Amino acid sequence: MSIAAIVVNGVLALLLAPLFEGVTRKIKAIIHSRQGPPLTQAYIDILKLLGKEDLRPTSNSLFRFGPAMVLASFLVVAALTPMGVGNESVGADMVAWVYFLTLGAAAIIITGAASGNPFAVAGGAREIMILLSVEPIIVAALITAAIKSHSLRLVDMVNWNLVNGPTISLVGAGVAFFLALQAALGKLPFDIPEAESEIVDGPLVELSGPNLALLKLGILVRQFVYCFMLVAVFLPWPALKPWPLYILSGLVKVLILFVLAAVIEAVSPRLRIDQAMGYMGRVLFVALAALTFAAIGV
Amino acid sequence: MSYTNIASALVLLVLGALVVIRMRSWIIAGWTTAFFVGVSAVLVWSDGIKVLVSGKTLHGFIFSLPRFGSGLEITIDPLGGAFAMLVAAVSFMAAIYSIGYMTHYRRESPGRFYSLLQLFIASMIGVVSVADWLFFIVFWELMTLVSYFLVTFERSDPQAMRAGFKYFIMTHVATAGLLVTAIYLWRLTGSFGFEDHQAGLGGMIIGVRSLLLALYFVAFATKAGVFPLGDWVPDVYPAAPSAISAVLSGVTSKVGVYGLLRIFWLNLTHVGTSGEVMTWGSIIAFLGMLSAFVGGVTAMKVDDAKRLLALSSMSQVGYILLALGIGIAFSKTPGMESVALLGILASGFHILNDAIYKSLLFMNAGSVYYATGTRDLNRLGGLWGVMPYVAVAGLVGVLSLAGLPPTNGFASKWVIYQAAVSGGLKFAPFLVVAVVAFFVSLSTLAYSLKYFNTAFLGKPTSEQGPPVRVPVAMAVSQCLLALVCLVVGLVPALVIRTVGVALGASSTQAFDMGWIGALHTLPVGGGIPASWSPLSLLVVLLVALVIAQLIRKSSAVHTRAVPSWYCGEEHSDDEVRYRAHGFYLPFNLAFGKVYPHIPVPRLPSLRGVLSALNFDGWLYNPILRLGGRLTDKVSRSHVGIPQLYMIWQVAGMILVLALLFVLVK
Repeated sequence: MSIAAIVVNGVLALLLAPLFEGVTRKIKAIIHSRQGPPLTQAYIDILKLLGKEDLRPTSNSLFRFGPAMVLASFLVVAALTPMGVGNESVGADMVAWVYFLTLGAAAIIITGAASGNPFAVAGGAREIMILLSVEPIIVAALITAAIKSHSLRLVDMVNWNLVNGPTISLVGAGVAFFLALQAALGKLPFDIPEAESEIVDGPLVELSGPNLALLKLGILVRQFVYCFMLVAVFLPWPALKPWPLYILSGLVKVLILFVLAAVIEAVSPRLRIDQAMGYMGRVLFVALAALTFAAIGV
Repeated sequence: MSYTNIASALVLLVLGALVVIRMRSWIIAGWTTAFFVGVSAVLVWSDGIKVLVSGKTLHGFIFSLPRFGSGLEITIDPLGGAFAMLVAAVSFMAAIYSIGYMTHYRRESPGRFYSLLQLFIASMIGVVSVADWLFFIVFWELMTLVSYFLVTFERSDPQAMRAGFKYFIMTHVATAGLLVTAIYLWRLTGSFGFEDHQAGLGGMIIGVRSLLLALYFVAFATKAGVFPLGDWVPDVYPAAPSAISAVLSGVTSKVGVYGLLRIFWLNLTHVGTSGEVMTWGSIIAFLGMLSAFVGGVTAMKVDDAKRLLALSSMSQVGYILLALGIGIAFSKTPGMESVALLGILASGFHILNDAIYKSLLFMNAGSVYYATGTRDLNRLGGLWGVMPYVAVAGLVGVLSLAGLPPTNGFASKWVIYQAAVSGGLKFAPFLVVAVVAFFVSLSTLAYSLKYFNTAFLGKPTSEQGPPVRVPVAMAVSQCLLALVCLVVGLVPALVIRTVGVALGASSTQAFDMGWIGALHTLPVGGGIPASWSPLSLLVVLLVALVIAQLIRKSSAVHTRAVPSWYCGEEHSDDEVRYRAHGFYLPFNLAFGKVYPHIPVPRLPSLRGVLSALNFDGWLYNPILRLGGRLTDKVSRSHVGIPQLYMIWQVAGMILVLALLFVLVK
């Protein structure tokens, strides 16, 4: 049980996640030929929200404590992500990683439903449908890595890939993960659960002030964690020492992923949910192909 | 005759059934039943713990039928003991729940319900505590029969009657297979004992054995409610009173799984060849996967709360079979011992967990029905404010059902994935099982949140009317079960150890268990390293929660209650409600054909069979009418004139004398 890894990973995610949102906004502004907000805009937004009035459309306590639960679950996911500190297991494996992500998503949905707003309920239903199409891909990709490394522990997957280099199956799985990433991040063309112009931010519609700040921060942490997971398991090279340097290289790769995601976001229109599901169905075939390759040993 | 506590528990339950049968008050009959069930639960647990601690089989001889090679002997081995404990505990919760719940069946008879309930519990305990196929079938049939009367308890409801009929026919046809195997093996071995039948199975050629195993499988899987065979499940669980649905889904279906465990895990893995166990294991695993998938995806589109849960039962039993299949498949593969253990432990652990949270959720849906008079999720909303304790228990229940950490549902699903992935390393198709299991687990989240969000969150609907207050007895049983969900989720190692003893599968060969209840799979015997330490992760989660709360409280902000925001439009809540039917519509359209509704064809021959079965129509009523006509004729001779009677007497005497002459000569 590596407490250092948990602390470092959690703190990194909490402190750096808003920065990548700032980068995303800057890139989008450049593509739109705007000047755009400063890189620190996401921090400023969260600080500002913390000072705003807390509006309560319902007395339901789930609505009050939901956002804290969202942030907490995604922080746990961040703590479990093998960012590069320590070589030991952190008491949980890939299955737990996926399920804590799901726990956070469930907390978002329950918070939305507790607000009693139909937009929030609709957004929650869409969130689950996106989850249903995205998570099997990510799980299939991670199982591919588990087969190659003969372990379900994330650290072992990373170490195996570092040593034994890229294999066809792992590259395939990484590609599938990458193709699903845009939806996992909840960005255009897959921002269907939130869809501001359609269902006014979905589950977030009734939230305000500190609660909104927590939920937004939670969603940013989730984006950061998804990207870091892809980088950590499927693109771990080079094996830099000592660990701060390794984490730094990981952050650079995450930054590249965020830039790519921002470019895609800036130039795509929103898909309908059934179109998104059709797309994910095809990506799932890529993931299953990678899994098959891993099963026959390449 | 030797004494066992379970035998006295059975006697006590039958006695209780007799005591309550004439009672007229729901409350008194309910408390009396709860008392009898509670005392017998304690008796069952005392025997069960004795067996599980010592690992020895307990015998309580009652009588024998030497001519048949049979005898009634209470035989509690660890497997049976564990199941008896599960049955007793869940039934006790259901009995307590009934005290509150059944009061709204004012027009029906309390004596009938509670005596049937006690007989039902007794028959289930009986099934798992005999080691003789003859008495197994006797108890099994009693269980089916009594549960049929409980399912159709509301006799005025034609839907319940139809569902009950379907249940009766389907499980009976399947039981015929059990009879055939029992009699065939009896002819072969001259005994009905479990051990003799196992030896009989071992001694025969593989073709006949496969046929018999298939018959066993059909019988037990039908009762367990596995997809194509358990087609009765989505009709019957909703039709029964909720307390009964909780028992049916929580433990009766598990008694079916008990049969599968006994035949395929305890018997087949001893007598079968390694190819045979691999084949049967794969068949069971893939049928389980199919059942999990079909049940899970179908439940997403159902709007009836209890039907949704019934389909979910189908799905969860699928999970159990999936793990069981993997365990059986590798039981004879050298170098894969650990995977076989993982599979079988996962299956046993999931049996326990599903029994707990599924009975909790059926009670929960029953409370919703009790308070609002409807099970239609489209017409429900906002019950969190009406019954907070029930709602919290429901939240724990749906989180466990969806398998989110740190509940018990996650712990057993975690073991299932370990088994599936490490099994997949040896036999690649099990990897598909693992991915499908993940997918189904997400669809489980989808339908369980659909249930919870529409029933408890949001705003109350105008259709559901002013809600009735839910009795304390109903809330108490649910809260206790919810507590068990959390505790089992936090110390899974302890429970898995017990499950291992029950199944005769050494859990320490598959896991390295930490002192704080953590599970670490051992990378020996085909297992792959993985770990889950719920308590330490709980600490991490709590620390994260504290951080989140600190961030939230970092500035003292003003709080204000506001109305819901409908984009500036003025709407009543009912006008803009997002109803359950609209949930997941695109998804449901994409998977619409997964569980097609097959209309039962109205065959003329079937009508002939039905009218042949209608003994009232062609046998009893005509005979009754004939008798009536004859006695009418006789009564016409009674005219009340003494002289006429004298003439009849004289005529009769002459007749008798004439007869005597004829006979004596």
